[in-house]
Amino acid sequence: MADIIYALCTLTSTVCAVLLLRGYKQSRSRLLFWCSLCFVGLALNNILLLIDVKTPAEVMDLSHVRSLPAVVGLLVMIFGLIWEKR
Amino acid sequence: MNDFVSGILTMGYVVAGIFFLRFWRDTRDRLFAMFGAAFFILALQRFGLEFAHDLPERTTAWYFVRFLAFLIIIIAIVDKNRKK
Amino acid sequence: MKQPAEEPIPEIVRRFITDHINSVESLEILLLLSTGTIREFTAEEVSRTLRTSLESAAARLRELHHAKLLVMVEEAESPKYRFDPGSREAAVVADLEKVYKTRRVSVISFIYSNPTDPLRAFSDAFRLRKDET
Repeated sequence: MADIIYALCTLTSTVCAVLLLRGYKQSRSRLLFWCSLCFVGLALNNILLLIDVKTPAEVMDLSHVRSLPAVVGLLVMIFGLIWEKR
Repeated sequence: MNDFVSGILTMGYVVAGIFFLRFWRDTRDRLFAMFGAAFFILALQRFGLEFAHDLPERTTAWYFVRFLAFLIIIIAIVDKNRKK
Repeated sequence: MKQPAEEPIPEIVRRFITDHINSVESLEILLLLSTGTIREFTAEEVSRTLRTSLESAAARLRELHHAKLLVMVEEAESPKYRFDPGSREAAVVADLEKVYKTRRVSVISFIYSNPTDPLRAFSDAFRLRKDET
């Protein structure tokens, strides 16, 4: 059950990232690029969550690193939201 | 370390949410309102996890909340593509 | 050439132009209908008054009607259009008219220099089929 949820979260993030990157290529609007990176980060975060949940703690414990892609992605997007002209 | 990262994330989600709300105010485009809501819900989820104290039975409930955020994004995309 | 006292065009006006105005012709037609004393126009009357071609006048009128800025009064072969003072944007159009009077060149440059509005681009990025307007 949890797997399905995380997989769906990953899929949604990926879709958003892809759509925004496509939009960036078409419009050259840099804002979309920064936002797409946030969704890449969220997708990675969700993938790591999925892996972490499936593998037992002795083998691999990702709990300290799995949020980091999300942090990086978010910070990059916030930079873009503030920096770029609207 | 984890708490620190958690704090940054929560704040980051809130800030992103506020930006999207502002975009909604400026454009009246529903998509932005929904993205804003999604980010606020992600913040809420992070915040809620703080009180779960890593107990699995409490944390799994909060991951449904996370899914809700992404579900809203899915709905926003579907909504944007419906023929008006 | 920029005067020190020059203020940028107000954000609401800029957004209105980005959303609805893509040529000076559109702008002049809109202002003609919203501020002139004769309130209703056919495409012919517009093209005569503004000395522009009939086809493009008709096209612009249709666009502005589609954007809900104008209402169609008669739908004959030659439809008559009127500005809708009750439209949500009526106040912005009034502002636009003021700004255009005092800052004509700036408004014109803005219309044509307009890079894609980032928010519009963001929103459009989520349209899966690109042929929709």
